[in-house]
Amino acid sequence: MTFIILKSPKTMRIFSKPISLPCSSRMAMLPLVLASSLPLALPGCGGTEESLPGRRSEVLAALGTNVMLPAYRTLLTRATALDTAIGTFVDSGLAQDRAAAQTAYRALMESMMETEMMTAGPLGASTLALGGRDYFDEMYSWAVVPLSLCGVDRFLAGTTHQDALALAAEPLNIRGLGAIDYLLFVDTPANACGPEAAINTSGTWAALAADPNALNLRRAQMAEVLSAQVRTRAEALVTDWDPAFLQELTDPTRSGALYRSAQEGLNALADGLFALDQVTKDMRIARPAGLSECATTTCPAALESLYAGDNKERIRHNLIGYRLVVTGGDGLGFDDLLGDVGAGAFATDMLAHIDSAIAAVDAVDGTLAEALVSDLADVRALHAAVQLCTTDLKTTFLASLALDPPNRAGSDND
Amino acid sequence: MDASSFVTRIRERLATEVDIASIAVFRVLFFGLMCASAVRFMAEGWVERCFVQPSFFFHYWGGSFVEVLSPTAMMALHVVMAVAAALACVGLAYRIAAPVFLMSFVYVELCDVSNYLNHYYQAALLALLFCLIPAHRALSVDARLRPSLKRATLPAWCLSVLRFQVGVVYVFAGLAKAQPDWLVHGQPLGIWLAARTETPLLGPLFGLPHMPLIMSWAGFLFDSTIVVWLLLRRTRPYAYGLVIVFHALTHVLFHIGIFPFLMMISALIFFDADWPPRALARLRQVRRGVPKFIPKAANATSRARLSAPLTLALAVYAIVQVAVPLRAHAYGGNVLWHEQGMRFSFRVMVRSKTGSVTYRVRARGLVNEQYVEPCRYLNALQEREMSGQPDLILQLAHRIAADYRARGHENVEVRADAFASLNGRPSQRLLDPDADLAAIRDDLTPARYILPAPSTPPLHTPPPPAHTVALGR
Repeated sequence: MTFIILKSPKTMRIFSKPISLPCSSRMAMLPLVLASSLPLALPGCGGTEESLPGRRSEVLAALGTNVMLPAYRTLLTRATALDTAIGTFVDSGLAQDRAAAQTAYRALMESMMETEMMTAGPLGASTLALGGRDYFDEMYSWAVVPLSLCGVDRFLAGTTHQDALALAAEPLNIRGLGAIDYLLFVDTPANACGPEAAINTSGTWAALAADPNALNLRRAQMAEVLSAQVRTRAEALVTDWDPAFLQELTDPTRSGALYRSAQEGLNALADGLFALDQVTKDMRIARPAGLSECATTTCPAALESLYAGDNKERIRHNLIGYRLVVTGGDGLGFDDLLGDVGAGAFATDMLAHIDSAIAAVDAVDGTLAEALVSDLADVRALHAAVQLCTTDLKTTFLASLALDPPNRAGSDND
Repeated sequence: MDASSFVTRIRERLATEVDIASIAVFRVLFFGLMCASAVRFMAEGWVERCFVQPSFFFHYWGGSFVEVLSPTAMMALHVVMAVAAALACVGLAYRIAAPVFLMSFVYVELCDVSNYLNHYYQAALLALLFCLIPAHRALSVDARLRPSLKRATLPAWCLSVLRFQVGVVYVFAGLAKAQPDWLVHGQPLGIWLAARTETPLLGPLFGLPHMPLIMSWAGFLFDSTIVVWLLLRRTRPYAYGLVIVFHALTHVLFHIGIFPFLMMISALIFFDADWPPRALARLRQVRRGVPKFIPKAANATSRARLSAPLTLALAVYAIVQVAVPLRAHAYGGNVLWHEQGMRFSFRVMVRSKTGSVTYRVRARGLVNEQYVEPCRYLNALQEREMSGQPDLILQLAHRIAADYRARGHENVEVRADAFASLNGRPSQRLLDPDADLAAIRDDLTPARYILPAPSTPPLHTPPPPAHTVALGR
């Protein structure tokens, strides 16, 4: 190869020092130009290479159509059923109608737990999710703010316990399904406030508790108001979704769309899956099991449902909802995308870990409250099983699909 | 030529006067961009997010004395930074404005390691150089107000050191790509491109089976050779065209903030020192038929030499700038995994790494081993950054241990279940789960608590699937 020393006036100077270069520098640049322009030249290569179409759009649309909207519709059906069942109990005062209302409540909570993994859009928090309208927190706020049982009892003892407007103006921690859990299941005539509380010092509560049936009826009446509010939110959720928000998922690239791309839409859906980490694993399992923020062997007071007692089922349905989003049910899901990008083996492992976690729930003997006493090892095994799922979620799942963890908005990389 | 005369010739060349124009234009564009960046940072609410929300901040090694100021003071610091950059841009009170910008910018960057970006580091270095170079002697308010300041030329070292600094970024960014994940497997570009197949116009290209590898090689060749093409006068216009295309593409594809613009501006420094008046003259010539630009006579015959202290300072600076990115090699292993020597090395966009960290605390007085989630201390962005960077995981472990000690616990031990996925590989443990992080000092020696990097290849993006076949479930 011939080299020349470039000199002034055509001198190329690196730090004012002449250097040797191939005689035709333009020719030398050719590989770079070719490599850089190859991507642009390829479409003209006779179409021998098939372009990978954007399945992300299809998956996004499928998850919205086949998983989320049906889950919300089920939620609405069950919210309506609960409202009706509580109304029936209020009218009859019969124990069997109370039991039916309790069954309806548990069924609704199963739906809530599944949709807790689907908080993209209106169901999500307005401060976190694009298009969020706080519906989930309005219906059930346990993960956001602890329920104030004393606050519920204070309102119950007041004169406006059936006043929907007054109740709607109260803070989240005495409303929603958490309060219904208490009102519908508590059997004691006592209240949750301390002896110094006004309802106790004034004798208001004592007067109510003198007739346990009347107290239960009053509780049911407040629960009825609350369940009507839950139903209204569920109706609004379905109305918002069908057809308006669903279009954000089926046509994310149209003008004025909420998500600027299918990828961004998928990222919003993946954000919802993180409830499995922060709510299911940390709040529902680790705290009562004594593994986090607990100074004693176990912390039963940290259990989510102290009255309905369906803690285990809630965890189970969290996992079912999580699995639904990952697989897309019978349609396309994230697992298909993982297969597309070459992570099919990981997708299989991920699903196996979810199934193991569901099996770990089933392996816990009795209720979760009972297991904290008699089967703590299995509760902790359940924690470990769910942690495997969340590790999958936070590592290979995100990395393989180029997704970001939640609250990613407004950050640069390099 | 012996070494002594070689050095003498370099000193003479570095003392040669060159046109100030390109440096002045670079100053205007650079500080203009920095001003816009500071304003953007405030407007996006990032001051609040980065410096107010978190309850814990990661310190640089040896930089624990830097503390985040009050929210008001942090906002004020950003205002100062923006104003200083604006003043330096227009060249008003430049000798004060440039150092004020540098100090405020560096202070902000030192507040929290999780905010580190390669281009912030590069911006800090360029700002430092601008503090040393009298770039305000042309195209500035200062020069207009004080004509005695005005200069048509500057010593060549001013131009050379800027070119060197810009060249360092490209060269090390290129060298960082000379590894199997990038050149053999086309990762992490394959992962990123697969997520962008719906990008208007270009999207369908990204889905082509071999596109990640092709683009990886293009990126490698671009970064590792572009400096040469920019230095060659004959290839420079084409090379600069490629610079524009390349960085425009990275701007469209990735969230890398001001980096593409910083590099487009920076690459202009490779043009001849008098390119601005030449370009202006050519423009005028085209428009009005003004006579061709005649360059000012440079002091080519001068035998002046650069002073020995300045020569030494420049040499030390150059050595440091080369040595710092290379220090990662002293640690051995895969720097993308252990991250020792990763910062300040311009390994730009070569890894897709996500992690999951849960701390486990044992101490006298604790009934059970306690699990501590990082989100108790960190915001989402900090957690994302920390979860793949062992030294940051170690720092938070120390803070957790300190908190437990402050609560009266003794013999506090902190371990971490830390997993990471590098370039789409199945996640694996990043740290030794049995290592008591509370007992490990944060220093610059090779960290034994970091487990070896995965030996498996990264994610392999297959050819397009038969879309009728869904995965079994």
